[in-house]
Amino acid sequence: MAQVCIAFATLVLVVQAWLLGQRMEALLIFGVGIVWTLGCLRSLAWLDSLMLVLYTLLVIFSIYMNRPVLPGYFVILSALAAWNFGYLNRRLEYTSDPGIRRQFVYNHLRRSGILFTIAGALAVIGYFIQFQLNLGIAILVGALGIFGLSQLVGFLLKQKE
Amino acid sequence: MSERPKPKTRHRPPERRLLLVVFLAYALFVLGLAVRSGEILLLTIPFILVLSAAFFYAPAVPNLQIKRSFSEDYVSPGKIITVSILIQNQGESLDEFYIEDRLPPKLEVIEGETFLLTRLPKGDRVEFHYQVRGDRGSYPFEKIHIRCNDALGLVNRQGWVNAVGQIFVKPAVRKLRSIPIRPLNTHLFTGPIPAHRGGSGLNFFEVREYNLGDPLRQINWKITARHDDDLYTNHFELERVADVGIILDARQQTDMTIPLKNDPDNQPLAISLFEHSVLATAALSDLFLRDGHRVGLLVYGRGQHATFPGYGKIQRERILRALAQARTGDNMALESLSYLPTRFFPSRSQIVFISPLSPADPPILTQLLANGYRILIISPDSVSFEAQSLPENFDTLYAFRLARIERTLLIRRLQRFGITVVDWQVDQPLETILRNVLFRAPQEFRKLGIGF
Repeated sequence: MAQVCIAFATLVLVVQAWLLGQRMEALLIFGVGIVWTLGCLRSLAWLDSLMLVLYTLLVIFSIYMNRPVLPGYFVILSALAAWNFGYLNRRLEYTSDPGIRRQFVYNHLRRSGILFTIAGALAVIGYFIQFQLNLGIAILVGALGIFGLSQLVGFLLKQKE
Repeated sequence: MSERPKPKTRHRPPERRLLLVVFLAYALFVLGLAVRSGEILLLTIPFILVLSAAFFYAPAVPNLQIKRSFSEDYVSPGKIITVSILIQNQGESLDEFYIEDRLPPKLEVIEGETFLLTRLPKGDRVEFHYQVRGDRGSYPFEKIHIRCNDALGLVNRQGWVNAVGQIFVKPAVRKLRSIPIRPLNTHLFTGPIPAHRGGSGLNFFEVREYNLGDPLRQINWKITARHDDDLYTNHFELERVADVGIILDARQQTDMTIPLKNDPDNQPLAISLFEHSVLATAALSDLFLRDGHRVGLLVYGRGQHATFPGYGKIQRERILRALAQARTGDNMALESLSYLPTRFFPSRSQIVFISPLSPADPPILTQLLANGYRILIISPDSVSFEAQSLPENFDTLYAFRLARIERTLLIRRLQRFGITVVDWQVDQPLETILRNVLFRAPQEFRKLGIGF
């Protein structure tokens, strides 16, 4: 599953670059995609994390180059899904019991499915609303966002103790 | 079908996935605000959703009951022990539960895994097993590591659960044939040691006048015929059991460790001279107990670990258990034998000292001899033992010769005082060496061609 997600994210970025005539960029992204796919077979946790950051940067670059945002959003979603499936694969190495493996896969797919469906729905809604960001809204959203994230992170760190 | 790849390390630390998501969410958020780009702000949504999922699916505080049990906790070397771990979840359901038993060093896993990853619903119980094997020693098990994750691996709770247990692997006991010892004091019970007193026995002791009750078949008719009125009877030497105190030298300074070979993981394996001393101690204590003696053990080195004198099979197990735990160690106070607790051994008893010997030992050992103890030293040869691991060249050859001379002089010095020393080259069976030394005829007889 991780490889499918990586292939999708890579394909979207490659096609975007190729259609705009950026052949070198497309080839480079293709190469990065191949590296990640091969890295998945070796169960490298650090590579998954590095590639998630790299793909996020590639999407930011594509937005900076005034390319459509929605494919970039789905690239991020796919990269996140690949990152999660990579984690699932690493966990499955610890157990050979088919029953436990099935339970893990089922649980993971169910939760990821809910998560990414909501994310997809929000993206479509956000795309159609098309609101204009001015300074007032930016400050308000920023304050709310930082407060919300801080609360969330605080809670999660407390959970870890 | 290919085999499931094993994790490279048994215990992987939890990944810092939460940190990465938080970092990306914050970075995109700040960047979006900084460049006033709603499109970049939109990209934060997946990350915030993942964080929210972690918030909703965070694992509850685990309430577990964990129990570790062994198929056997006192075994012979090489015997396989099954370790079972039972986990009962008395709290909320756990999506991803990882448990890992930390093995004591030098214990080898033969079958199964020492960890388990599973889902643990509320009230459920799960058990896993693995098999281990170890060389002589004691293997204390202490804590068990547990970790609970959410399904996406973002939030984890981890901790340690106390589950104390211990496995003892006793040394192998090699059967030896009886060896002669001559302590000055004996006990009342019948045994193999001539007690220098007349009575019932096998060896002739004296002829004395017949007393009422003496067996008629023991009357010495030749001497009786020379006398008119009196009857004379043969008297035999009583054979009794005695006290034997075994001292195992566990001082680090007298021990020697040499590399044995390299295993496939390139971890050097080493063998210690002390292991040979332990095997000799086990064999001798078994022999003396089989002969009916009262045997005590003192392991002298890191501390003074004493097994008080006793008889029989229970004492044998006590001694083997003490030997299973014996290890060499440094203790500045016990570097010499000056603090040997002589009161531990009954006076005028037999002491068997098992040690590679150090140059400072003879004065203390001769002092013991002067106090009335009979001393037998079994000395594993440290010089030959170390020479096995050294390269064969001119320097080592001469160093070996010098060390050999020094050791021979040390042994001769002890022998001059009347201490019996068995110089044991550990590649030869102990029994052969014991027979060569202890059953050898006295020097005067050998000069006359009697004995060997």
